[in-house]
Amino acid sequence: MPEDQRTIENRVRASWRVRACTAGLCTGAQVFLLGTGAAMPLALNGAWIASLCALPAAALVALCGRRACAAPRRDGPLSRALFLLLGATLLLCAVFALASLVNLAGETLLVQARAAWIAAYALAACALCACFGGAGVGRLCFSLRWMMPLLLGLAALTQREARIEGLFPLLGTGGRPLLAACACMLGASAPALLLMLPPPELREAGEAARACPVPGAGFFVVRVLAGAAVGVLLLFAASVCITYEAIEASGEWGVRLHIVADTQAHEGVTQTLLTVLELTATELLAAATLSAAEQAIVRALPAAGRHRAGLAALVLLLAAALSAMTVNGFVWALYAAPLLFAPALVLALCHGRLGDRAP
Amino acid sequence: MRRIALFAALLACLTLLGGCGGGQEIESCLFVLAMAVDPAENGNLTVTVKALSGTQEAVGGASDETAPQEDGEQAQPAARTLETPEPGYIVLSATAPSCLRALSLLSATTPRTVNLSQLQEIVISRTLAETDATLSILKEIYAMYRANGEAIVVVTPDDAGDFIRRQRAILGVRLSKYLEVLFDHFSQIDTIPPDAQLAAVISAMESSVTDATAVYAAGNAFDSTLLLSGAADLDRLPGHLPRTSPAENEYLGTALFSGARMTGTLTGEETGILCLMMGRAQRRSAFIGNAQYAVSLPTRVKRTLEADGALGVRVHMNLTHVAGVRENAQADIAAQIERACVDVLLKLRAASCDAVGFGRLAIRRHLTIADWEAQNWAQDYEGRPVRAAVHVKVL
Repeated sequence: MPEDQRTIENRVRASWRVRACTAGLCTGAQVFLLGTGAAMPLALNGAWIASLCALPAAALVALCGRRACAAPRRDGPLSRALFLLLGATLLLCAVFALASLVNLAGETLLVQARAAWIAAYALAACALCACFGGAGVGRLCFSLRWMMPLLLGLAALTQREARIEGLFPLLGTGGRPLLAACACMLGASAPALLLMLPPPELREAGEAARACPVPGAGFFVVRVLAGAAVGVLLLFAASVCITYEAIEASGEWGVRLHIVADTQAHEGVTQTLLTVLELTATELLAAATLSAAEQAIVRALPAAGRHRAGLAALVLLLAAALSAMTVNGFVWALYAAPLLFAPALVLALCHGRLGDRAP
Repeated sequence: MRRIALFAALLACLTLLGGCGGGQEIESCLFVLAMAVDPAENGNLTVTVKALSGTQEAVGGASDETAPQEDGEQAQPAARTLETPEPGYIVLSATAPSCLRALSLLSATTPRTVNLSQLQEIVISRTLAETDATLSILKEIYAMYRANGEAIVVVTPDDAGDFIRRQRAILGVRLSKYLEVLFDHFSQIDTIPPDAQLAAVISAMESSVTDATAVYAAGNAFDSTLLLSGAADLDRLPGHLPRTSPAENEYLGTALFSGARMTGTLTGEETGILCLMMGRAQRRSAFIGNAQYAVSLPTRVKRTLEADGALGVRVHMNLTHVAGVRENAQADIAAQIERACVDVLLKLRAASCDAVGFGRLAIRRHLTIADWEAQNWAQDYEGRPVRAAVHVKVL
């Protein structure tokens, strides 16, 4: 094989690696956010068991995403509709991430700030990240891919004196609530839909790059599963460090998001670092899914690519959703997030229609 | 390079964002070091705080400032001189129907905001601790005023306000540092319980698997007439001891809680046994008879729920003879410690206080919360037999 061709293949593989790592980080963050937001009120200390359901679901979506990327390009109305659905699903992921971020920041670093201002700043940061294009966001996620494991490590370090009684009773509130929590946690697989879209930099690359083979299924599934497992372990840490009564008493969503950082008295640098890491991971989830949503919308409606009209529209939609939630309560994002599995399942089943490779 | 830049940005966020929430000037805060809560007439609460004065006048001596003492719904018109029991510190008190309102009144009587982030101790009078109000008071202080979760919870049979008025540093250090060193010292000799921090006490009171313990403390008079002959000093409660140091207040022993209500006490010696059974003993030397031994625990203390439902504790100890004359055989020492363990377990059981944490073992046998709650552990615990097995090796 010529040296040039090998270099091109290596670079294309690196692009796919960036994509897979972004999907892994986003899935892990979504598992943690949805686990603390939706599964904990239902299953209390059993939320981490419920979150295990997100692993096979994320693996399935990643597998279908790989197949979609390897499938030949389709431009029919059904394909376009599916790409629109993909864009809307990823946009909802971004809405959920920003709503979580507002709750978490409001409980921790910005206690006296208004939710509307936090939402505005978070949206601005997210839009700025997305402005640099999907490739930029992906590289940022790739650079910070160790952030979630670092968060887990710090949480483990601060909870080294924790006792394991928080894990018991193992099934939490019982069979039915646990099943409901499991169903909610399936929605955490939605960010893995990122893998249904090829890395954006490949679009601008030459024919030789586009002709390079897509890496095997294991390449994607392992990275997505690793990311999701970190999310599960964070929920496990949250269960270990406090009892079910304390989870029940915590009430607010923002407080539950902060459990890992707040249970031990380690105020100051460690606590702030844990909070900053959580906030950064959440912001990256929002930026990556917004950017991917733009890519999906542009794929469905090429006219939306002119002057970044697609991104502008998505940012406006995001702003409208956040404004509505500022008035009506951010808990609406929690009600909607578990439903994300439905479009994810539809897209996974129809992955053949989402192909983007030259036939 | 890019990673270094990102890391630097993260560190900048760490240092800069920490001050964003509720940023307050240090000069505008009233840093409370000790807080006392007493019951008052008509169901009111009197909250007394000892805080850094933060003014040169107070450091120089008594101040002419006045602060009204509020009395619930009907504020008393009589103003009271602001107390400055020692230079650099002031004592303020307010009476109101709730702890939160009393703290608000205190904030209103000073030009500064009450800040509990540097709180070192919360003293509650025994009369109040024996009611169900304890948990709500502690939660109000912790949650609403974001008090330091590491502050030690103390129960005193005396007036809690007077207790903190008497409290002063005797080593020429800051009061906060003095209290920190004091509690560290008592923890190391196992005469106060290991989980008496505010956050831990609240968590244990809310939990169904364990019960809370707090430090027991009282003032000792020079002319105490309540001396009990024949008992070691550590085997008494403060208030019944001769005063041997310039400090009037003595921290010794444990206040036992069942749920949110105080139900009993342990002496200093019994507290040492409790620490041992909890696996949290820090004391490294022991006097048995006329001999001194260095103590080490080669394996972890094991707590068990036996097949017949008995609450069991198994301890393995290595004792190294250090000084004095050895009078007791290995088996005698083991039997002596075993008896002490059983006595403490019986005392805990009588007080319905599962401070050792047998509930943590019991909950593991249940798959769902409903099953666990149906067992009614608090009631079940009171009827179980107790057993202790101590294995001693004298080296």
